[in-house]
Amino acid sequence: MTERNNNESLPGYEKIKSILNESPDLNCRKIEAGQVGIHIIFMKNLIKPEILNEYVIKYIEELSVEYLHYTYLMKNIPIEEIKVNLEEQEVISSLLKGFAYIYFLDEKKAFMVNCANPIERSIEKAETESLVYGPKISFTESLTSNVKIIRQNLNDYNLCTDEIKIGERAQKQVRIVYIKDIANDDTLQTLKERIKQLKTDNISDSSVLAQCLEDNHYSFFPQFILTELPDRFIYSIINGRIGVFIDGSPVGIIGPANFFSFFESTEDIYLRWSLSTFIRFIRFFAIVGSIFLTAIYVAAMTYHFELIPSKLLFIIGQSRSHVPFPPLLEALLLELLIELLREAGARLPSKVGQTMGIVGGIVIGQATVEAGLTSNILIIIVAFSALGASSAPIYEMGTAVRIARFPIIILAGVWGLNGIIFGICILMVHLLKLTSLNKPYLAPLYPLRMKDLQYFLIRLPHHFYMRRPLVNRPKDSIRLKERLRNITDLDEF
Amino acid sequence: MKSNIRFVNAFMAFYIIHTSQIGMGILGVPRIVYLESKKDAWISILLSGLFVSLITWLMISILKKNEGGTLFEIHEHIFGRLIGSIFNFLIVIYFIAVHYSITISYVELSLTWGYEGVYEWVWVLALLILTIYAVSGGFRVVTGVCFLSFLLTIWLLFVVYRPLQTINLTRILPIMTTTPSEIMKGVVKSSYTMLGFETLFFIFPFIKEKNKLQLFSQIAVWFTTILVLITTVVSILFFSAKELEKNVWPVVSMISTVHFSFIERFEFVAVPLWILVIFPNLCITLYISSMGIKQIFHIKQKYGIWLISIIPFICSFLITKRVDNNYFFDQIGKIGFFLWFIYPIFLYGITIIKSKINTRSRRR
Repeated sequence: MTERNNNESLPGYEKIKSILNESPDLNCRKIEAGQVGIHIIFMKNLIKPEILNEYVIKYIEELSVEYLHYTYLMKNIPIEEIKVNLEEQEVISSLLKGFAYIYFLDEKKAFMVNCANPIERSIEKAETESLVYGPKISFTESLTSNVKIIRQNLNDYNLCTDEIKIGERAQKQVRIVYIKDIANDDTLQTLKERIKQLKTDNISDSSVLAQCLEDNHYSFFPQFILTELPDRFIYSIINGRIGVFIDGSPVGIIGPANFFSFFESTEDIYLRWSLSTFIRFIRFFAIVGSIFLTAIYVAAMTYHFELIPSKLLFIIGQSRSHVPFPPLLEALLLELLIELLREAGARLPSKVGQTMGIVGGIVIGQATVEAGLTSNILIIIVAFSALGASSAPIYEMGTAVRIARFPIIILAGVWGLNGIIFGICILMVHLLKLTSLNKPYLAPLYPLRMKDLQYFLIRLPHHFYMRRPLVNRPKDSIRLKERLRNITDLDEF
Repeated sequence: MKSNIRFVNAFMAFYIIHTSQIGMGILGVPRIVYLESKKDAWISILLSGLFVSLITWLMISILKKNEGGTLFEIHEHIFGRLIGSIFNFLIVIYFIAVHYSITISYVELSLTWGYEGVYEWVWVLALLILTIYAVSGGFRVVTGVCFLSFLLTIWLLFVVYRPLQTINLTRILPIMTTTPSEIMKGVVKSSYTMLGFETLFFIFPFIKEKNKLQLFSQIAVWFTTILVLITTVVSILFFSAKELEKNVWPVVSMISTVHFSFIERFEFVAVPLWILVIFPNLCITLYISSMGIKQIFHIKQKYGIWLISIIPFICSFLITKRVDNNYFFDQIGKIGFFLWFIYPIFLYGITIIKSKINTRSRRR
């Protein structure tokens, strides 16, 4: 251990006190043993008193006088993490993290020991992304425990957790998690550069960080997957993606993401292939329906009565006969009502929220139809599209769909089916233009990679997955070296 | 200089060429060819397809001989900067005209089926904004538009099952009742539909595996020919002679016989969907013409897009009547025929002579 002669830069108690604005939490325990004076300075609320009492103060008091000097104590104090070679800035920031500062008055030397007592919530079940099957554990607000969860489940020595510090004022630790011999170097480099370029005073959550790192800040669509499920995180990392944690956020960021990855849930892997494929198709149809169905209703009601078969037209006509609004207004009214219900349900305490949902959904829905403000066909359609938007396994995609619906409804109201097709074209071009960490957003579809479609569009039995998806450009693409089962002839075993 | 070009796979050439061929033309081609070569219209189409296939082969050999630039670069290379630029300028004007012809013919169609009374410039402006948005994403996005619009619209082919149920085989028999000259006239008339393969001249530098390009462009050209052939044959079988001669868009009329249990009149879906079919055409023509502007005047392509887009918008106030449009399409078809069916043959000759002169001068 090389030691610098940095006595001048080491602050004493008075100096620290003035830097920390006379904080009442700042305590100084003065120990005098023989000729030697030692100051133990710490923040009262941030440390664990047991550690400080047991392993620092008691240890020092039990030592005989000849050992009471900097070199011996620094080498032998029974605490796992100590800091030496200190600078003033570091002393202050470490104090605020829960370190105790041990200062030798005569020698004018000091070191710090870790007595931190971080507030941690216990690891609980995932709430926003719920799985029927599979592990239920979710990330917590503590970065250490998140990394611990990942390490525990992915025991690979090539798993890297690189540390970057961001935030000018409130510095936070960011960890970039990837597997060294799988993750693509260019992507990693881009991500690291973008994080380093962030010069903001505070990043409050990982969702904020994700938005700061995006390629296109104006897009409706999320360009990173945000997840609170460790198994999803690990699945993505093993497939060559890169994960990011930030201190204090229970949500991990995964990138590069593509459009289709927002429709896969880890549950698809746990369930049998047939059901998973079926469910995946249902999700796609639900999302497409959710975006376009109300718009199609508006277009057909405003411009294209010819489209509707006469029997159906009769039913719709009957239910719309008392509606005083044009279809566009009617649809917007109901869509806004549904969004309002959802928002109110999310904001209210959970016990009241349920009641509100019932009151809003049933009473208001029934009443608007009976009052003749909307047709009940539209209620069915709007309810369907609200359901469809929530079928996306990633919450952010659901919100993107909810928002994307409105411009298309307005286009449909203005220009009918032509307007909807314009909407489709804009959406198409937008998705084609989007990139996530410089990787194309519509990836397995365009640029077309047939072999990757089995990952993103459908789900096959597991022995088909011999290679990792190539869209993430993994360095090592082989997953299975041999087929799980060789193909045998009849009557062979 | 070319390090910043984004490459696409060779099989994307299939989508680019095919989607730029299929567009507004296919909706009217059965009538237009039928007017010239009557029952043997399908022979004209086949001959035209054969011709296109040959020209495609010729084009690729020209491009390979000229070390794979675009046609604009080849012109400058062969004729020098000044004359080459004049040639390029003519080609740019041609593409702008094609762009406008596609736009206005779609607008005409859309005004006929469900949007009577909307001003032409509204649709033209909307389509232009869409196209500018797409083209400003660069070649990768234009290719993506071709690919996705192909996927989203190719299923329209299956709606021919319905007219197939009411066809009359005697309408096409006997074969060869028209004179060869009439059939050749039909070939010329079909050019407006078959054109689009000339994009090959301009996408060449963007293709990754250049030796596979021949295969995919031939597949594209023949796929288009077969599609046009199917629509022509089915419309001849479906319509009586007089009906076909009077129907400007026989294919749309054919689609109107299709109905599902949840959609009564399918053509009202098909006509808006046709925006997706013409969208690649618009993107490609705008892209190519802006590329030409960049080559000639050395201004950035993103400004070129905006400059060019003004022209169709102004035209949308002037050329809007059916008669004018018809004349306009006819002229573009003719110019296109000479430009892309005949001119490549000359260009091929010039290239060969030029390369021979070059090799001789090198030997000395």
